[in-house]
Amino acid sequence: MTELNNTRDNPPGAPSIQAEMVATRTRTPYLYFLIRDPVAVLAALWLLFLLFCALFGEWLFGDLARGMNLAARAAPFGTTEGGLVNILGADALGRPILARIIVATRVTLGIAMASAIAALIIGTLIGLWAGFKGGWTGRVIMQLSDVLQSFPSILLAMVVLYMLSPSPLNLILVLAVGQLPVYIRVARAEVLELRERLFVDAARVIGARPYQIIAMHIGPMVIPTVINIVTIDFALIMLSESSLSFLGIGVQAPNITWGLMVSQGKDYLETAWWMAFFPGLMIMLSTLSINLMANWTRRIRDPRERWRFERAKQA
Amino acid sequence: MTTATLAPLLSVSYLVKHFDVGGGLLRGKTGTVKAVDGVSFDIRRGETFGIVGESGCGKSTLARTLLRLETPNSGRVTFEGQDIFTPQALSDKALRRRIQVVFQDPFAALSPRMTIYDVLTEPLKIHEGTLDKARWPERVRELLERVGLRPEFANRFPHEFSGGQLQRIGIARALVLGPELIILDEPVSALDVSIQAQVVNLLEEVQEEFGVAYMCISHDLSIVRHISDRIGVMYLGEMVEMGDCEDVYETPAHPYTKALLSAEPEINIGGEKRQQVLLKGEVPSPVNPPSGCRFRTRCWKAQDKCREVPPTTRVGDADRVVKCHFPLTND
Repeated sequence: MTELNNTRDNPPGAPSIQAEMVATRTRTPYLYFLIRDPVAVLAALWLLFLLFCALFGEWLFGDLARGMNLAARAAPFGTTEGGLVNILGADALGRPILARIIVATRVTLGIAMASAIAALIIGTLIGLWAGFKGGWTGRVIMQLSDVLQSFPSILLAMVVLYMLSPSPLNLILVLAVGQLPVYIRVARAEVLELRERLFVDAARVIGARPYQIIAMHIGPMVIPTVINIVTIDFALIMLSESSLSFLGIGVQAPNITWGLMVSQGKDYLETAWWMAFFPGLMIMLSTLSINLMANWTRRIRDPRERWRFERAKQA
Repeated sequence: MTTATLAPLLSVSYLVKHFDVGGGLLRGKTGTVKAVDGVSFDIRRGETFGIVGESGCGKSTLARTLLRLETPNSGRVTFEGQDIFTPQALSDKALRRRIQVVFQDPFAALSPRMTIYDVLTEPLKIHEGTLDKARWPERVRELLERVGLRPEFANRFPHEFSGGQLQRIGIARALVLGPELIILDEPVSALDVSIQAQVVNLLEEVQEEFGVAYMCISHDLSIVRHISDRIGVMYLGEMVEMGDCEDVYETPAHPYTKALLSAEPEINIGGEKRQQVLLKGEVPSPVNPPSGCRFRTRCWKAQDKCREVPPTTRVGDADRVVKCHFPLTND
């Protein structure tokens, strides 16, 4: 035991040892690396702008977005008549597109985010469980998830929303249920592979309980994968929501969403393209930014990829 | 070997682990792999018990079963007299602390997303109350220094290390909870030859310092010979010979042992050439092992009796155990 005693010069829990270890464990803050990555900065700025719109849009442009103005009916893109707010044109009732887009941010992102997160959490938990339990439980869960996946989700949504009221909460739930199978499938596949890995065996030998194995080993490996899926899903959910809104069972007036605006504007595509184009552009830019940010976050959090950033820092 | 007279630390008797093959929704199972088939042995406190055999002979399954990663079909394993497969024992965390493992592949045995500090404190996290949290950094530091790594490495991730360094970390992890038995499943076969000796020396130092017993599984005969006090030879799920390490190496009693040992490359300058025994054929499938003696299909001494009657285990001098009708030591 001589060598062990050598390291005990300091009393138990001596601050020097702890401080030394903690000090070397802190790393350069994420913000530092973010600033160095122009694409990620643009995406982050766009998302900040959206956050601002979602928080203050209603307060700034709420009345403007809903008040009819027959003088400005179908005002074209680029006009400055009636103020700068008409710069992106106006819709068939003379409501400025810009104001409507900004006001719509809150409900659009709110619904998409809520259902994406609900699908992510519920689907991943079911998938983890199905993968970890295996056997009959796992098989039954997978069969049910296949049934759900093969059933047209828009039809499911129509039936449910006709029977129940098309309230935002029901809309969120229906959209989430439609996306569940993806998460169940991916989470289960990851668990099936991970639970055979040697480091999971090592944890079992140490005496880890199943929940500890999921929390310490399987969770941290599955989360980045499902997070990446959720960013793609986010766009899909926005589009599903717009289809439902178009059918009249989605978002109800006076609420506005980008999807609803695309649907309303598509009848005028030949004469007034701006009505559908700009809300569509918003959907595209927002999903793109979310994807870019998610990818950046995944890379910065992966210990095996982080060195790229750190090398860039040294250079 | 001063402790040889004490009661065994780990006692394995008639351990059987079979795996079903085939199966599926409509088809029944098509066979059974007899991976471990009635193996018995003891490991004494502080000693090293080596297990050698070809790939597929059930060495690793034996290790996984003793680690309770697999449930045996039958047989009994006791650790200091306590059956380790009773429901109470299976949920007894304290027992887990006493048997630990070092795996073959050090890259796969560590989670890529955990720092070495996290890896080494995971056992302490799982076994709450073992050590005051304030002392964890100190414990990690001690362990890293003990296995010959710098304490600053605690903040790094597994991908930043070489195989030899990772195996040292694997050994450190096995030591965290102060085990009494460490199962070494091919501890050095994934490493470069130059690193193997260092890791073997480390294992020996650790044993001397902490008095831990090893069960060392390997197909590398020279390493097993170097570190073992006693060895067991496995063939097709059975322990065909067992005894004091030097005895078995010098005077193998089972024909299979002789063949296996003669396959080991040898540096021989000017001396007498060792007699080479070449086996014919392949290892039979463990799904359908030969009747009688399992080795008879490849044995040059096989006779009719070997086909008809499975050999019983004979215990000779100095706990020498042979499972053969015609052991070579009788010649």
